[in-house]
Amino acid sequence: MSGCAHYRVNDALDGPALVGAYRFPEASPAPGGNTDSLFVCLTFSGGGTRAAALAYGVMEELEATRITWRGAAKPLLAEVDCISSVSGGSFTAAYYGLFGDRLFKDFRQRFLDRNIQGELAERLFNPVTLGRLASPYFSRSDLAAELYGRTIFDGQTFSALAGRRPYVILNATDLATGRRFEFTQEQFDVIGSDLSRYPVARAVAASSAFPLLLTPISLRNHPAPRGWQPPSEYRSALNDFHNNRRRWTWARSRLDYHEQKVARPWIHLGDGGMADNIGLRPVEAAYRFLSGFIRPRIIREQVDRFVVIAVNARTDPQEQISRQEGPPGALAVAYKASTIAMDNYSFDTIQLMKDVEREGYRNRRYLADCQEKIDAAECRKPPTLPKIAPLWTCLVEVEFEALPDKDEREHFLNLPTTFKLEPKDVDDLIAVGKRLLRESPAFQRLLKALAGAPPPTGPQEDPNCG
Amino acid sequence: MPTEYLIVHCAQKRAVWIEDIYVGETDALNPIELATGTYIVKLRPPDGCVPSFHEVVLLNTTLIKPCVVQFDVA
Repeated sequence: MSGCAHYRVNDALDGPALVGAYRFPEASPAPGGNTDSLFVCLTFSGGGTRAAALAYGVMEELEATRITWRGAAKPLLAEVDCISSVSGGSFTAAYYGLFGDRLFKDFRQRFLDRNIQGELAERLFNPVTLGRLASPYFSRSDLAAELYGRTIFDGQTFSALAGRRPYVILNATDLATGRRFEFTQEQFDVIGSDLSRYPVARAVAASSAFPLLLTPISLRNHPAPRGWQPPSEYRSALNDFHNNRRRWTWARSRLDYHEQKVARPWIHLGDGGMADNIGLRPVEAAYRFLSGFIRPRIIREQVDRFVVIAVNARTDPQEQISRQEGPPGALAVAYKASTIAMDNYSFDTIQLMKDVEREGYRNRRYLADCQEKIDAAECRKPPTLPKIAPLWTCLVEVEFEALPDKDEREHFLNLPTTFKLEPKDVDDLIAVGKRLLRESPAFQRLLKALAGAPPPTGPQEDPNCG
Repeated sequence: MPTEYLIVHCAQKRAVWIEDIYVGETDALNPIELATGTYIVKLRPPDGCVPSFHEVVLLNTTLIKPCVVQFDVA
């Protein structure tokens, strides 16, 4: 029993993954259903049960928010096209992706109200489990994945997520490179693997394999199937080292798996928060790059409004190491080293998305201002200016820092990162998630705009979500 | 990362494919918005159009002066 325990190895592709592959669904939405014209992405951060509960509260509020879009009345939640998540947020994202509205019926009981880490500890000290853990190919995170698969995700694989929206992107971190690794078929193509048969619970376990406490989840980098070629854009982007380092890095990070199969036959994944703790990077990449699932839709003018709701359960606990004169011990330093980048990188990612939003607004203003000057000049034959697609972007942030009451803010900013919270804390987190979204100025502007309010035009008005 | 602008011209109306992704038709009113970088532009069906593809580097374009790619009818 002990020596032969082995984690579930990802399957090789036997040909290019086409039918049933886990990619963004291309099919046109049903009439009255989820449209492309209002394209909504949610991002759920890490932060254990705290993050999962905050995300759940936001989901409840989105379900309760009624909109009318293109003549059809519906909850705003019905327009969500993608959810990108990290760590604790991945539980809520994967559960909704698999089971839809059942989230509101039993997710609390199946995850939020449970003492997951207690249950894990109980299994860890079970004599049978101890034997299995003696195997070099079976670790604590494999045990966690089994627990999640049995008690939360009903053993479902990614084939159950395929072909419908929202498209759920579960993110982990490649420990060898520090780069983001997402559980999508595009990512699995370059490791020659079929994601559709891979358990969702293992992806969630990888996404939430918190450094030191949980072990990495491992994948095999299989040979590419016969006839498979990387997407054309990856090759082109390799020319952009000097012109666009971000695009070059994005392509390089994918192609390295394909080109270094001998040197890197195994991939070991840790908590997604180490590469991007708020899950925004995949959405930004899909918006920026032509191979992403958002950019082609924008170019083809299928998207009128692009909305991102970033749910960030970041905390700011009272720091202990700065209170003592002596330097922190090795364990404290190891913990800090493995988690310190999480918040710094998160800030950077939010700013990146704000820049995206501002850039679109500036371009529209620029053209409008030019046109105004041309019209004022009363030329006999005024030149015709080009146009750009009338895309309106919106970034809504949901985070504890927005709470106006200092005591309440500090209460939430000091909640622990754990897989066990008191029911009262879960209640409070769900309630505050709903309230933070409802009271967000950007969200309020979005709802007014969806109801037909004219866009902001004045230089002092915040264009975001207008 | 700035946005670049591209217009694809051809005397005959064709579908424009960039990096094997359909992005619209030739001579569209609005320039195509892409991230800075290198792209392969093709028309489909390719019959009668030359060259068979363009490799373009989009850098420092503006809305007023986008990069213009020209395909001719052979």
